[in-house]
Amino acid sequence: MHIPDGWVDLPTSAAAGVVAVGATAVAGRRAAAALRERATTLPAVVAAYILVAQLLVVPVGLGTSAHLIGAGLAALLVGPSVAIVCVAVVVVVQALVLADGGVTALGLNLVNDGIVPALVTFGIFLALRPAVLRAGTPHLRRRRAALGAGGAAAAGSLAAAGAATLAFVVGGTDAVPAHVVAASIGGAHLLLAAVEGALTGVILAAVLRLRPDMVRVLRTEMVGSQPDTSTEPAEVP
Amino acid sequence: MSSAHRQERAAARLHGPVSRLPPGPKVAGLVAFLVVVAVTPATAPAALAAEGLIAAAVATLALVDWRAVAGRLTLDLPLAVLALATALAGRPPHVEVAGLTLSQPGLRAGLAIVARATIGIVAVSAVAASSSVPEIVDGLRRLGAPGWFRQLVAVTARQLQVLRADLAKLRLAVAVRTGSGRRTLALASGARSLGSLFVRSTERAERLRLAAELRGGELAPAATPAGSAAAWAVALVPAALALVARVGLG
Repeated sequence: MHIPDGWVDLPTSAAAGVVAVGATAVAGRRAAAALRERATTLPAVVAAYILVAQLLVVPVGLGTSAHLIGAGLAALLVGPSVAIVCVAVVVVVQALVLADGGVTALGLNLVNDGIVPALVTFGIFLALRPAVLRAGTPHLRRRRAALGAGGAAAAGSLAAAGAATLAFVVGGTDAVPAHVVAASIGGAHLLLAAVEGALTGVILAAVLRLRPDMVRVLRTEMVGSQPDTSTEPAEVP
Repeated sequence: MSSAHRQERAAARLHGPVSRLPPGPKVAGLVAFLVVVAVTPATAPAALAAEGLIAAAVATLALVDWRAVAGRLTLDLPLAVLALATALAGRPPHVEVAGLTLSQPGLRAGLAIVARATIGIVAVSAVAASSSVPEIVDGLRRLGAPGWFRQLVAVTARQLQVLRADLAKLRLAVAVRTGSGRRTLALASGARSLGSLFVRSTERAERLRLAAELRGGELAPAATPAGSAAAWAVALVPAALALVARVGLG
């Protein structure tokens, strides 16, 4: 979710802002080193991609809908440092151009929607990678990769819910007991995590089929492998 | 490069008093206003209402498209649910509202959350409606964003147009091939077309990088004139008014 203006008090927003700016600066430097260029084109295109991917909404009832957050997916596709830079751009564009998410909550949104899910998803998938890459047909490996990515992204989404709850308990209104906040945010995020996991898995599987070398988290193992079109035709029209 | 660019240029921006304000002061004024809103406590509903009126007045001056703002206000819906939860589960004392026993501090806090979020959406809409994306990017300089980051935001905003057009083409292709309007199927194929959209756009990023290297220059956003003292004074009026409301009515 995108935290709006005035959701938590100013000190908490400011603290999150400091964390966010620091992390983005570090991630920007690391991304530039990893891409061996000024970090512009790839992060910009991936940030635009995340914004477009968020347009695919999944209706979840009660008139509301869920959509991909994309930080976990981006971390798997381009690595966590580029992903964090991308989400920083995404939250800035959302807050200043699309009026989605608060301007004073920019730092908080970057921590919740970017840093936490990107690092958690990437970390969990790294732990799962040996199991994903066990012997098997390319089709089977891809299926395992999609499952692992989906699970990791769902966990990342839940971790983001935890961070949002923590921020609200620390800096939000004290009119509500903390466990009620945790229950309502956590409950909503069980659904969002399922959506995030499913979409991440399907998208990652599609990229793996078309250009396996583009999935950074699996790159070393799959470099040189050809696009696999043996099981079904590729999705490119 | 793509028809998407033409579309954006064709969508002529309305020119009102707010769009003449230089972007630096405008973005800084927006942030100052929203900071005041964020520190307005839930116990001062009159101040929040006054801030809402200020935001609405500026948005009217900025000639916002109120239908678009109404669409964005659907972002408030999950917050309304959260507000209801805080009102139902909040601490005592309790009050009776329409047959429901609600916690008074919880109700106040919930309403304040929705109010601040709504004010934020209206205020940002006012700035977004009266500024081009390059102007907003330049305004980020006033907030201390480094050059590489501003450049990134500028390229992203441009690529967003291109990718949207790309996705529309992909979706049309999927719809034609599957020939089905079924919702679940549309979602699954939509997710898969996002996979190929990533491949396409990453390949485009590579071409963009090459092109930038060949030109030997950066993809630098154009600088806009810095604001005069008068422009700064005008841009900070909403924030000053909000502060007056916060102190006077709080």
